[in-house]
Amino acid sequence: MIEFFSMGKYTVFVYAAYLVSIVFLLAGYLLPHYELKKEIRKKAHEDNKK
Amino acid sequence: MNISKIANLRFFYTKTEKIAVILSILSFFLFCIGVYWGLYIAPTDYLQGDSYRIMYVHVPAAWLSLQVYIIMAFSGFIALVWKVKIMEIASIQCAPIGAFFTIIALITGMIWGKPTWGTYWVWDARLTSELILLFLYIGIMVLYSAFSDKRQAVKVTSLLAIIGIINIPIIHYSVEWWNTLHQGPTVTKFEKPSAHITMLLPLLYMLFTFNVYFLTVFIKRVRLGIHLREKNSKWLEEYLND
Repeated sequence: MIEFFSMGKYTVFVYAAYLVSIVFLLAGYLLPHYELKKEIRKKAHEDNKK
Repeated sequence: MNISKIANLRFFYTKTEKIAVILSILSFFLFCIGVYWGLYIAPTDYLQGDSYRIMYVHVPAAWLSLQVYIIMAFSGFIALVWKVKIMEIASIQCAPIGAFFTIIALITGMIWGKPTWGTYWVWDARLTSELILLFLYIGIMVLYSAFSDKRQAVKVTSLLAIIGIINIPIIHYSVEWWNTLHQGPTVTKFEKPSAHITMLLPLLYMLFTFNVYFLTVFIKRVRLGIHLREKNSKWLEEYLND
């Protein structure tokens, strides 16, 4: 199993690059997702106040 | 379905909620398959070894960083000339998406550069122009947030985006115009691609996956932009109460 994931001296570089990509892609997706949810909650709260 | 209907803020906001969910799931599965293909199925390169596998995230991110900028400038142009509200939102919402793709392209390129060139960074024409692209994206976001009148802000950011488009051909042709450390085109040499088909296919697949991801995030960001602009409107209140 370990051999399957091993890429010799490049292992660290390859996995680091993929990890960085996943982190930024995920952040790029989740930021607007939660911001919209937050705005919807805020609006619902304001509407309830009225 | 005509374009004017899609350009309607209410129509876009209400009709794209489910589409965004479907695209999110699709992006996730496409990306998982792409990562597996790029990391484990694609053969090892005889010269670069396994380090070349970084290109399956680096190249699509770099391409999307340019593509998103062109979309941002184009929608900015339409917003500026015809004052189409949804284009104003689309233009400014492209900036953070493009910035994320540029960051991925720069960081993964640096990681690839260390074992290949022996250094993380060189002030090479391709790398420098890509860094300028990141500064352009950041500049547009900062400029937009500096204005309290967001419609006025979009006019200024659209103008900056249109001026900044000069950087796109510079990035693309930098490897041909100057003698750079960065390698020349691999995929766009259609008459004689320098990558073997077994390596090229996963790259094209990842390019498609990144485009699906972009579409997903773009829809989510435009919906957010519409919400922020229309938060006091009657139709949004009615829609959210349903």
